[in-house]
Amino acid sequence: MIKIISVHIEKFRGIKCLDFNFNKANFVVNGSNGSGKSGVIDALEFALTGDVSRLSGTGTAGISVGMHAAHVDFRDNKKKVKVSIKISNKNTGNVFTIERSVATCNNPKITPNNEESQSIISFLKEHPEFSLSRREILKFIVTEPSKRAKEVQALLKMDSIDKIRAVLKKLDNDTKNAVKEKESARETAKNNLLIHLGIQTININEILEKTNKCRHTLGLKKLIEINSNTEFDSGIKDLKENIKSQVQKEPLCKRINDLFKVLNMRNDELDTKTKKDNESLIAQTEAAEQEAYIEVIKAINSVSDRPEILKYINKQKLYEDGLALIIDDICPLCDTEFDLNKLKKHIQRKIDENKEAICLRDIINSGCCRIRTELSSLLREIGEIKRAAPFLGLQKENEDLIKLAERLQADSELTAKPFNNLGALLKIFKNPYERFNEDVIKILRLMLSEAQKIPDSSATEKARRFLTLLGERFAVYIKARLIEKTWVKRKSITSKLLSRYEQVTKEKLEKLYNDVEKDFSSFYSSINDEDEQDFRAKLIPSKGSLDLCVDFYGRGKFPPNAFHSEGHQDGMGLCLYLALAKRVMGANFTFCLLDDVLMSVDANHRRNFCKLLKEFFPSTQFLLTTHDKVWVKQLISEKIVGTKQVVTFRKWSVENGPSILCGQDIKSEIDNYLKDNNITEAAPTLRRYLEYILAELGIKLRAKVELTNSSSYDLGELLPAVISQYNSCLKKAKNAANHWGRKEMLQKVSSIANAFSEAYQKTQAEQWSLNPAIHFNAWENFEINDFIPIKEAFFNLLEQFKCPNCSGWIYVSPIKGKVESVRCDCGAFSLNVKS
Amino acid sequence: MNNSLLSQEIVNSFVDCIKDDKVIEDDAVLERFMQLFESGGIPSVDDIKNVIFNEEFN
Repeated sequence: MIKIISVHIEKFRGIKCLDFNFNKANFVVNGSNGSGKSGVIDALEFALTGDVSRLSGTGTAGISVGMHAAHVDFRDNKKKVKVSIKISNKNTGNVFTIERSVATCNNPKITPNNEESQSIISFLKEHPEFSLSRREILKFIVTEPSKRAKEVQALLKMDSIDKIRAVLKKLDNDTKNAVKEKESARETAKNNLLIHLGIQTININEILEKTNKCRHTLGLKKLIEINSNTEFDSGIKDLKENIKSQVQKEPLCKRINDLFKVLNMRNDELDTKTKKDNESLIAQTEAAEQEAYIEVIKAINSVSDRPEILKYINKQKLYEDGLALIIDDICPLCDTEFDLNKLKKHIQRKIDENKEAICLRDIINSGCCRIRTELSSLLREIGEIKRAAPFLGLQKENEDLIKLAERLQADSELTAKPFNNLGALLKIFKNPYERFNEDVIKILRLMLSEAQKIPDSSATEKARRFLTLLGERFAVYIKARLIEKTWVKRKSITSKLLSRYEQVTKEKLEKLYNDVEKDFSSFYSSINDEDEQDFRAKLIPSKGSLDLCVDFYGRGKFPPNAFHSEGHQDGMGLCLYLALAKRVMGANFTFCLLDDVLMSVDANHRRNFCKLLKEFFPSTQFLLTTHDKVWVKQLISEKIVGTKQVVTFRKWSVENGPSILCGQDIKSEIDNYLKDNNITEAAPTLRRYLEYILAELGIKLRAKVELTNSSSYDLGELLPAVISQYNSCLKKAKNAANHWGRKEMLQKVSSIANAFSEAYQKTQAEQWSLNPAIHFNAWENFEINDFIPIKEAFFNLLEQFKCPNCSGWIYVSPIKGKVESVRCDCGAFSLNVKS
Repeated sequence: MNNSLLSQEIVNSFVDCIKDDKVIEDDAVLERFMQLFESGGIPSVDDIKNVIFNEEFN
C-alpha cells in the first residue's frame, strides 16, 4: 500500500537525531552490534503503528512503549521524543507525513489528514507484521508445535486468535467443572433422599407407598402421583387445626384411669395385673381413710349432740386471740383499768376448763384439712379432664363436668369453715365422693372411650417428621437436578462455542497455511537451488498447535531443526515469514522491515536470497539492517540497493547515538580529538577509517590484496594495493588516450595522475618501509603538529578517488573480467582504459 | 496489540457460525454475545458467562 520516502528520528530509543532518505527504494543500515541499527527499525515501526514489537507482546513484561521508547535521557520529556515519516501511497502516488510523539503515540499528526491517509493509518495498525527480526524467526522455526502456532500468530500479530481460543477453552472447562460439581450435589441429594426413604433406587411406586403409609397414619388423603411439585406433607398444617390433635391421648387416659382408682371404680379396660394392683392399693387406702374419717365423724356427731361444746369451740378462738392481744392493764374497748395478771389467769382458766371441746375441734379441723386436700386434687383432675371434653366433641358432658367441679369447690369451701354447717360437713365425711354419681362415671367412661380413639402420638409424630423431611429432601433433590440440567445445557453451549471457534480457526488457518506452504517451499527452493530444488514443507495446524515438517534431501519430512543447519533454519524462517506476509497482506505487501535476519546464512545463499527478493518481491521496499559488510556488498552487487542506499553506523554512544560513517564526520571527529590534544584517539580513528574506505575502494577498483585467513586487512596491505591498481588504471587510460589519439583525454588523465601522485607523496606512505618512525603504526607517537599534515594528506588522497561532480566514489567497470573503464555513478568521471 | 485482518475474519466467521447453527437460541442473548466481539477486543470469560448464562459472575 505504501512506500517510505524519508524518516526523521528524534530522541527515540538509542538515536539522538537522524534523517534518512529512502526514496521509496530498498535501504540498508549497516553497523556492528550495538551501533543503533535496530533503533531505526523501531522508529519506523513506531511512526507507522504507534507500537514497537520488541517493547510489547510476549516476553516484554515490565517494559512498554510509553515508558521505554524514549531515549534514556528523555524519558521524562516524551513530547520531544518523536519520529516523522514521509510515505507515498503506491496506488495513488499521494504523499503523506505521519509525525508521532511518544507522549501521544496513539494520536499522530497526519498531513494531509484525510480519508486516504486515515485508511493508510488503519491498514498499518492492522498489519504491524511488516516488521521482522531474527529473534522472531528463530522463535517460530526452532520451537515446539504448540509454541510455533503461537509464535507464527504473534509474528503475524494474530495473538488474539489464540487468546480468544484460550478464553473459550477456559469457559468450557469452567462449565465442565461446574457440571461435575452439580452432578455431585445432585448425587448427594439423591443419596440423602434414598437413605431417608430406605430404598436403593428412585422408584416412584416405592416412594408413593412409603408416603401414603405415613399419610394414612396421620389420617391424610393418599397421594396418587409424584411430580416435581409434590408436597408430601400436604394437609399436615390442617391437622393442627383438628380438635382431637389438641388432646394428648396418653395423659388424658391416664388421668381418667387414675380417677377411677381414686373412686374405687373397676375399670373393665384395665388389664389383669393393673386390676390386681389397683384392688390392693384401694383396699389399703380405704382402710386408712375409713379409720380416720370414723374418728372425725364421731367428733362431728359429739359436737352436734352437745351444743355447749359447739358454743365453747366458737368462743375458744376469742379466748385464744384475746389472751394474745392483752398487753397492758387498760381495756382497749372501754378503757377500764384491770389487773393484767388477774385477767390473763382468768382467760387461761377459761381456755383450760374444756379440754374435750378443744380435742374434738382439733380432730374435726384435721379431718377437714385432709379431705380438703383430696377435694383439691379431684378438682384439679376434673379441671384437666373437663378441658379435653370439647376437643372430643363432648359439649354436654363438659357442662356436666363444670357443674361437678362447682359442687366439689363448694364442698372444699365448706371444709374451710367446718363449724358453720356440721350437718353438711358430716355428709362429706360420710361419703367424700358422693358427687361422683353414675352420671359422672358415665361421662368419664365416655371420655375415656373417645380418648382411646385418638391416634398414638409417637406414630403420628414419626409420620409427620418423615413426611416433612421427605418433602425437604425431595425438594433439595429436585432443585439439584434442575441446577444440574441447567449446567448440562450450558456445557453444551460452551462446548459448541469452543468447537465452532476451533473449526472456523482450523479452516481459515488450513487454507492460509496451505497457500503459505507452497510459497514457503518455492522461496526456500530458490535460495537453495543447487541442492534442495525439490524441497517441500508441510504446515499442519491442529487445536492451537502448528506442526512444521520439511523435506530433507528427499529422505523424508522432519522438523526443521532436526537435520538442517542453523543457516538453513534462518533461511527457512525468513522464507516462511515472507510467505505468510505475502498471503496476509497480498498486493499491499509493499514494504518490509528486516532487522538482522540472515546472520547465519552463508554468502552463497544470501546471493540467492537477493535473487528471491528481486524475483518474488519486485514491488516491495525492503529496509534491512545487518552487521555483515559482505552481505551489504552482495546487496549492492546484486543491485538490491544502490551505494547511496546504504548507511554504515560506525559507533554508538548514549550521548550522541549512532555515528554514520562519512568522511566529513570522521574528519571533524579527528579534529576534535586533536583540539583536545588527544592523539591516542585521533590516530587509530584515522587508521580505522582509512582501512574501511580503502577496503571499499579496493572492491570498487578491483585491487589485488593477498588473501588472509581472517579476511581482515590492515592499512599496510590495503593502501599499496589500491594505489597500485589506480596507478595501473591511470597508466592504461593514458595508453588508451594515446592509442585513440585523444589529446584532451590524455591531458586530463595526466592531470589526474599528477594530482594523484602529489597527493600520495604527501601521505609519506611511500617512505613507510624506509623510515619506520613515520609508519602508520607509529602515528600515536607523533606530535600533534606532525600528525595534522599526515591527516590532511590522507583526506586529500581520498578526494582523488571521488568524482568532482557527484562526489561519488569512482569504480572500475565491469566488476568481472577485463577492466574497460574507470567511472562514477553520474558519468562525469569516465576514463577509458581499453586500447 | 491489534488484531490482524485474519483474526478479525476468523472472529466474524465464528460469530456467523454461532448464529447459523443457533448455538445461542435467544436472539437478545445472541445479539449481546456478538457485541462482545464487535469492538475487536478479547472478551473475558466472565463477560461471556454474564451474557450467555444471563447471570452476574463477577
